[in-house]
Amino acid sequence: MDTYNQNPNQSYDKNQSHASPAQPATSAQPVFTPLVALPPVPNATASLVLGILSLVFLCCYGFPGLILGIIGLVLANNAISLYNTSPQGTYSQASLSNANAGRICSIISIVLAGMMVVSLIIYFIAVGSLDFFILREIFDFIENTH
Amino acid sequence: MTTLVSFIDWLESKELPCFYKSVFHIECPGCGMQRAFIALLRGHLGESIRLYPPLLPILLMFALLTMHLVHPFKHGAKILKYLFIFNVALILFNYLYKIIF
Repeated sequence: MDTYNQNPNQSYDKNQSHASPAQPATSAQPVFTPLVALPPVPNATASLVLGILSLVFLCCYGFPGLILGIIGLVLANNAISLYNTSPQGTYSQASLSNANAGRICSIISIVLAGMMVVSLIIYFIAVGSLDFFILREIFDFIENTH
Repeated sequence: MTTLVSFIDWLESKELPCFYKSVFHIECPGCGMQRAFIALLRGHLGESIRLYPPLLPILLMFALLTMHLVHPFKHGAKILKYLFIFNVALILFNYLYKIIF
């Protein structure tokens, strides 16, 4: 089989028959798979953003940071479990590292916010007053800015 | 230019009070961040670091986060994770320093 007479667009595989050019290549020819960017695990970048954002929202006794941290942790755990249960090559590796980083950041924020909330509760139990002067401070602030 | 200066003045007038400080009468771990940010906007870098040292690493973290979201780099998540832990440690050290001294 002289390869020079063949169609130049065909592959130079001597094992390939002329009758069916669409025959799949044998093991003698390397198979070139196109490089496709794997899709990211859903919610991986969201958990990273929420984990990092929860650090600056640790004001106001840590409540916003606590909420953001919990949401980030839940999303990160979902993403990691989804990555582990799906077969290899479904999702990209980079998004797994994003989800891991988001998980660590969320855990740290939850710990810090939890300490602030616990200190607030201990303060109110120790002082023993149901004086919601924090709310009064908030109302004064809102009034002064108008 | 004048609009930028007036914008910074407007930001300075809208600073939030620290609810933690009004209750416990000691500073919270984030006290000074707004003032340091305003000083940074005015260009006083040393003043900004003196008021709240962890502000610059936090801003660096946010810059890296936006760059990582736009075009992810290979070890971006790991860098962000370690920078986050470093920031938390810096905030806690700064807080203890302000409380003790």
